[in-house]
Amino acid sequence: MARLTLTWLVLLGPMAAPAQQDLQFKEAGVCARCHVISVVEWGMSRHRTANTDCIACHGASAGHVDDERNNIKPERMPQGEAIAALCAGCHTAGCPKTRQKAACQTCHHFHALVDPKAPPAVPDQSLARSRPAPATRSPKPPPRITVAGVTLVLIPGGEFDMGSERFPTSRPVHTVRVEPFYLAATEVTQAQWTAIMGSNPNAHKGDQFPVEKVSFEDAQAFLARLNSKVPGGGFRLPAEAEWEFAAADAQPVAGGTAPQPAGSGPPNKFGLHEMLGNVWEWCSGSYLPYPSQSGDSALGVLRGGGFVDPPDLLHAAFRHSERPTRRLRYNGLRLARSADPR
Amino acid sequence: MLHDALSRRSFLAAAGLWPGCVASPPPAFASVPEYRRGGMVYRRLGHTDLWVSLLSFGSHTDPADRVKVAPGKTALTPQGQTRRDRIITHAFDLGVNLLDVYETESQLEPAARLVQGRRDKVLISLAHDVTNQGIDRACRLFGHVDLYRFHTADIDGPALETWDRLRKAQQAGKIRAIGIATHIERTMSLALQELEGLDYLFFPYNFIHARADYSLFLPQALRQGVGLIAMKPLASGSIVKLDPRARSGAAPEREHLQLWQRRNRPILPAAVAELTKTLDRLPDETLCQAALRFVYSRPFLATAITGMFDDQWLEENHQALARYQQMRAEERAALDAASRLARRLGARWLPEHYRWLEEQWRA
Repeated sequence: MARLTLTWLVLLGPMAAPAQQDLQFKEAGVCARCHVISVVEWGMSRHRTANTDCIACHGASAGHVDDERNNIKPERMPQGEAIAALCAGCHTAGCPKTRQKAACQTCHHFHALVDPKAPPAVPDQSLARSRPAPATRSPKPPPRITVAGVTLVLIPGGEFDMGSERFPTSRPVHTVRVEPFYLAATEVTQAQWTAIMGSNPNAHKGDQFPVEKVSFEDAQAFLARLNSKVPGGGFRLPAEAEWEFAAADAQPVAGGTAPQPAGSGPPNKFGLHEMLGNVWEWCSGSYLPYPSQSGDSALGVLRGGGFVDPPDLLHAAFRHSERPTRRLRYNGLRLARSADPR
Repeated sequence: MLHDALSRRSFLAAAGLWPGCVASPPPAFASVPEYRRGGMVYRRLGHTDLWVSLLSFGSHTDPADRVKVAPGKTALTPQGQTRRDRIITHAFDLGVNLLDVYETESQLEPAARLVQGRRDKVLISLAHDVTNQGIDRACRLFGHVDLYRFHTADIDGPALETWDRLRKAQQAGKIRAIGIATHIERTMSLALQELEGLDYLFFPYNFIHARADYSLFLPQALRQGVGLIAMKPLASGSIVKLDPRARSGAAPEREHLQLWQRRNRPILPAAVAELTKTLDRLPDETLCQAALRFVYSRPFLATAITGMFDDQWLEENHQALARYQQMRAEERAALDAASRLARRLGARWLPEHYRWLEEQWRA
C-alpha cells in the first residue's frame, strides 16, 4: 500500500511543478507501467530536480514500451562503472558524503541519488548549477521553550508509519498517531543529572557529556525529583512512538569508546541532537511486540543506539529492551513533556 | 515439558543421577519435543523454532593436523582441512544439522564454503569473537548465525555487556539463538536468572560428569524454555581411553595414552576386569557408543556436541542413535563399571587441561 501511495505521489505530484519536470514525470509515468519501484526511487531522489530522467540514462529506447514481450531492450543499460560515469556528470568531485568516485551502487541503489534516511552532511557544491534556485524563505524552526535549564522543542505531532521491516523486532510497520509534545533538544547531561541527583554515575566524566549507567528506575527517580523541584514541570520519558516520530531524519553520531558531548552533533529536522548514537535513551512503557503492544512485559524500552553499537543499529526504528534495574554504561535518557500538561 | 510438581527424587531418577541408577530410562514428562527423520533424531532447542540433530558436529579440530598461525590461533594443514571437510560433509549426509565452528581454529571460511548450497539445512553455531566486528564478519560469511554463544565463568559487568551485544544482534536479525557456555554450575543458575532472552546453554554432561545437584538447575532451565546442549559427552574424548577394546591410536587428541598399557594394568586389576567383563556382554557396541547413548537418552537435552576427527568416530556416534530410546541393562552395567574405573584413576584419565573437570563435575 505504501508503495502504491508513493507511486501515485510520483505520478500525480508534479501537477504544480515547472513544465520541464512535468514532462519528465509524463515520461516516467510511461516507464512506471512496468518499472514501478525504479520510478518511485527516482521520484524520491534529487534526480527529479536535477534534470536527470529515465531517457538521460537509458536513451529514448524507441519501441521498448510498445513491445509487450520485451524483445526490444532499452538503448542503454549502464552497469558497474558505467553508472559511476553517469553520476560523475553532475558529481564532479565524487560522492558528496564519501568522495568516492566509483562503485556508487555499493551505497545507493541504481535510481536513488540520495538515501533519504542518511542524506549527505555536506551539500554538494557541484550540483548547484543544475539545482533549482533555493526558496527565498527558510522553513520556520519549531518553537522551543526552556524549562529549568532544559531546552525543549515542540514536536508537532501527526501520523506516521512506525517500525521497519528491516529488523525482526520492529515488524510489522504500522501507522501511529502522535499528539504534539515537547522533547529535549539533547540527552540529559551529567551536569543536569548531578544537579538533581547529587551524584554522577558515569565512569567517563564531563559536565556536557550525556549521563550514562542509568537504569529505568534511576530515570524515574530523576524525573520524580526534577518534577518536585520544578513547579508544573511535567517532565517524563517519551513514549516509544513519540521518540520514533521525533527521530525522523536524524543522522547517526559516530561511535567509539566514549560518547560525544550533548548537542555537538548536527540537529535533525526538528532541531534534536544525537537522536541516533551516543547513548541509548529510555522510553516510557514496557517492551511489547508490535503492533498491538498488548500484554505485560518486565522489560523497559531503549531507543537510538549507543556509542558502542555498529552503524546499522543506529536506526530510528530499531528497538532494544533491558531490565528496569540494570545499569549499562551506554544507557541514558532524554526528557519529554506533554504540549498540554494537565 | 517438565511436570510442575516434580520432586527432587523423581527428577534425579529422570536425569539418571540418583545413586545406583546411572542410566535408568527417563520418564516421558521430562522430554523436549523431537522427531525422527531417516537415521537422525531432531529435538527442539528450548523455546526457539530451531530443531537440532541429536548428534552435532563439534568445533575442535584434530591436533595432529593443526599448525600455529598466530598467538592463540591455529589452522589446519591443507590435508587436514580436506579431511575435516570430508568428514563434515559425511556428517551432513547422515543428517547432522548443527556445525559448531571455532574462529580461533580458522574454521570460519572453510565452514562457509562447506555450507554453500545447503545453508538452509545447516545450523551454524559460533562462540568466539563476540565483538560487533566479529558478528558482522560471521554474518557476511554465513548470511546469519543460527547459534551464537560466549564462554564465561561469571555473570559480571563485562559478561552483561557481551550479552547485551548478542541480544542487539539477535534483535537486528543477525543471530537466531543466543546462549552461553560455562563449566560452572553457579554460573549456569545465575545465567538463568540474569540473562534476558537466554535461548540455550552449553554445559558439560556425560555419564561420569553429571552432577547430582543439577536438580535445581535443570528443571529451572526447562521451565524457562532454555535449550540444553551437552558438551563433552565423551569427556573431551577421554572415555575412549577407558575402553580396553579401543583400537590403538584411537585415543583422543593423539595422546596415545592407553590406560591399558602395561604400567597401568597392574594397579587396577579388579576394576579393569569388571569393566572388561561387562563390555564382553556388549559385543556390538563400544564404550563410547554406550556413553553417547546415555547422553542421547536424556530427554531434557537438545543435542550432544562432540568433536569427530575421523569417519569411524562419526559412524559410531551415528550408529549409537539407532537404539537411543532405551538403554539396556548391559549398557548401564558397563557405564557403572567404567565410572568406577575412572574414579580409581583419579583425574589422570582426562587430558591435563581438563583435569579440573573431575573435581567440579563428578556425579
